[in-house]
Amino acid sequence: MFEEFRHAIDHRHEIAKEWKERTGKPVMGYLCCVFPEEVLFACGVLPVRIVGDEGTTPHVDGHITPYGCTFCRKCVDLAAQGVYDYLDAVFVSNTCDLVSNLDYWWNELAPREELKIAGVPVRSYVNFFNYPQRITGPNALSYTMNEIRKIQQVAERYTRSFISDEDLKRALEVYDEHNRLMRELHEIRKQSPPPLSGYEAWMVEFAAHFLPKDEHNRLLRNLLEALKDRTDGPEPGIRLYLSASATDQVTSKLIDRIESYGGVVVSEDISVHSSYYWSDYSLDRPPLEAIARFSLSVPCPRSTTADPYQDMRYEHIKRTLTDYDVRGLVFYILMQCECRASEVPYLREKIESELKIPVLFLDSDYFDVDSHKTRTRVEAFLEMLR
Amino acid sequence: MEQQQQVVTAASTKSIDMAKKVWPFIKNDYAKGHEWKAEGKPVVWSCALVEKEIYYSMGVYPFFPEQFAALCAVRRKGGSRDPAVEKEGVRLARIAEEHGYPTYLCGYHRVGIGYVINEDLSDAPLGGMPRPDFMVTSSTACDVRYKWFEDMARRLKVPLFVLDRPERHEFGFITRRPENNALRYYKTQLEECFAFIEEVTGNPYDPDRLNEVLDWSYRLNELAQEILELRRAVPCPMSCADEFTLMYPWMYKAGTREGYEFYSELRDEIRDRVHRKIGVIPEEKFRLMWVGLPNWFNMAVMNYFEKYGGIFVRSPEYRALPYPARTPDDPVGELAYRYLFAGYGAYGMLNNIDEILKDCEDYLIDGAVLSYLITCRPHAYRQGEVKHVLEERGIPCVSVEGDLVDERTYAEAQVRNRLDAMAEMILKRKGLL
Ligand code: SF4
Ligand code: SF4
Repeated sequence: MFEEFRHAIDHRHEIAKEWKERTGKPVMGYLCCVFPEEVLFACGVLPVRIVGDEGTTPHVDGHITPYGCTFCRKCVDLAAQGVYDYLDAVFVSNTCDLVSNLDYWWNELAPREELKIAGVPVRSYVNFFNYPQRITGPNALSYTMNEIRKIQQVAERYTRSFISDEDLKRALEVYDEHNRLMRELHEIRKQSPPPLSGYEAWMVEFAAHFLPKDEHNRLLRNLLEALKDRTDGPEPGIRLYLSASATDQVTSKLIDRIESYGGVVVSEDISVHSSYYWSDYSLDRPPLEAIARFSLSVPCPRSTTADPYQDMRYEHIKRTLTDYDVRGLVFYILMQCECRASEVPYLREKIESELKIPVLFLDSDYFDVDSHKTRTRVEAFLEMLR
Repeated sequence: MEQQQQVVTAASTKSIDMAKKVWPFIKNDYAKGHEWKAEGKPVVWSCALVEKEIYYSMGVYPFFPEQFAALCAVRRKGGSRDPAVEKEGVRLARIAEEHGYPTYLCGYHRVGIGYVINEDLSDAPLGGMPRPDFMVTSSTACDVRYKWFEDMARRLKVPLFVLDRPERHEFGFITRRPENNALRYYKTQLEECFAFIEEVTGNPYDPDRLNEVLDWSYRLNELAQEILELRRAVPCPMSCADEFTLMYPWMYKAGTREGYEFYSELRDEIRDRVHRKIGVIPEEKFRLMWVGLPNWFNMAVMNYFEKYGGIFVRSPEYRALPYPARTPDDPVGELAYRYLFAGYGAYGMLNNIDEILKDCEDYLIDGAVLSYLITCRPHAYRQGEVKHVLEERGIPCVSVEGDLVDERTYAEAQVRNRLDAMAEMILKRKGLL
């Protein structure tokens, strides 16, 4: 039932290369859920998420400190190895401290000749998406729309075309369906037991970052149908919520581990996948504005708002665990992921006291997610909840 | 970017007379802030990178948790000098850790949160910071800067304003005009911030007052640039030991007459030393750069190389970039333009490394000590690359690991071996050993 999603994850680079070969169109990579990939899609580009992988990081050692997030280090290391050579352009978003400086390292360690006229860059290989850090307030929308226009310009210059509002609207229809289907998938996990495990849900969501969204939508529609009659779903387990730093195919082992010990992850707030699909596009607005509004709705842990008493992150977690009958909450933080680590003590106190849900805090290095220490702590936590 | 604090060094540490006036200046500033609060007037806690002119023009007394954390890094309870009494920074960081804050978080953050969790805000050096009426921070430089302030504001139940500043990653940003989109955005943020302060404090925004304050900070910045220029002299008239100590009036009192007057006297003193060719040490053999923020609890390291004839002549952390000319008919627009044109911190690695290289040329640098702040990602993450780039150009580097304010992770003996080795290497290279 999940083979096609698994395949997309395991063969993500080949799939992108093959797509590029077949269509003759560019593939572009981006970091972060806030990135307006819809614009690339509207231009006929395949947007793919840049993620890490197993293995050491020889190319970045001596450049990027070990005290930086290893997920980021691994992404650049792959670029330096040439794994991401098929990308025609790269977009680095202005999000956390580490990600927002990857433009430098990508250029240093995986440089590429750029098109220039009179020495002025026309098309840059590595581009910076200057996303606001404060996602509400008087000018946030117009500012973001203008920043998105720059992304549009890059896509247009690479494809030597102009994107019309109609193109954007067509892209939004696909993305709107995608988000609706994703939420539908999330919704059925309220069932007891849920018809799919947390790890299976992760696979579906993660695969979406490497396939054209219309293709993923097709797979997802089929999956939702098939899940209605599923008889070999997960065993009933202790229902958990997971709030985690970058969860790619390396760190997702944690979900598998939790579930092998009798937990079942039924909802989450995870960087790299579930962060983005919670709101609808404002389809009644001009399409670029709808895209900007959507991007600004992502409850990224590194964003803040104009509300002087804002509690966005708590509200988001509360909203996404209500009705999921959650028995315990696991925070999993990659070492040095400061924007998440720094919010945990406050969130933990509030979740335990107001929602009366026990919390487990785990942190580890990217490659060390399934360590003995983590396993023992997960086991003890589940034991306590039994 | 952050702040300065009383150094813990022997008398030889300070070569500049004005440096000795900093500690009384800070004590006086704290005392005045407490009086201000007692009179019922508004106090803000803010990040060191926010434009101080906002507060001085709006009748608000600012305190800076980063500076305060550095103060805690060197002071023991009740001003004790007994080494058995732990430093206040360590005590407060422990409180945070007991509440689940990981030890790899920024020491400023842990100390500040421990202080807030401790509840008795007067239980700290200099009577602590007065309870704030509100907080203002910025998005510049690190995530901690607003995640930490959000956390403190929630715990103290006070409103928070975050100034969002677009980054400038284009190479050579200082010579280029900021983009209209960024300018408009940041100007709106500032207008909104003034409106927020008006609402919280009841104090009205007054453009004339803001212009007055901007005049002081403009002049202060001109002095700071002149000092940077004077400090290129050989022999070095003022070392980093003095520099870090002397940041306070520039960083925290920008926009006040007292800040300007302090720096004016400082400039005169340095100018005089340059004219009379008075160096920090009698025989200057090599010149060093300190890259990154210092470990405030161990400022003695700034004097370490003096026994070898080495001197830290420059730290690129605090840079007075040239401000654009004043535009009194639009002071808020000026503030917005000024930040994006010559602001601190958010202009990407490429510009950052480039300016370090330029400083190496301008200040005739022979070697560098990199402060490897393992708990400060914006500083730590670039150090590997700085080392790589400097060494490629033949400038030897040593890294000193530690936290800004939490001395528990600092391994002094190990550091000394590395520093000695570098000193010898430079001396040999120069044929002086
Ligand atoms: S895991 Fe954390 S530090 Fe790493 S990229 Fe994501 S938000 Fe940044
Ligand atoms: S993380 Fe670094 S830059 Fe940020 S507040 Fe801490 S010491 Fe300063």
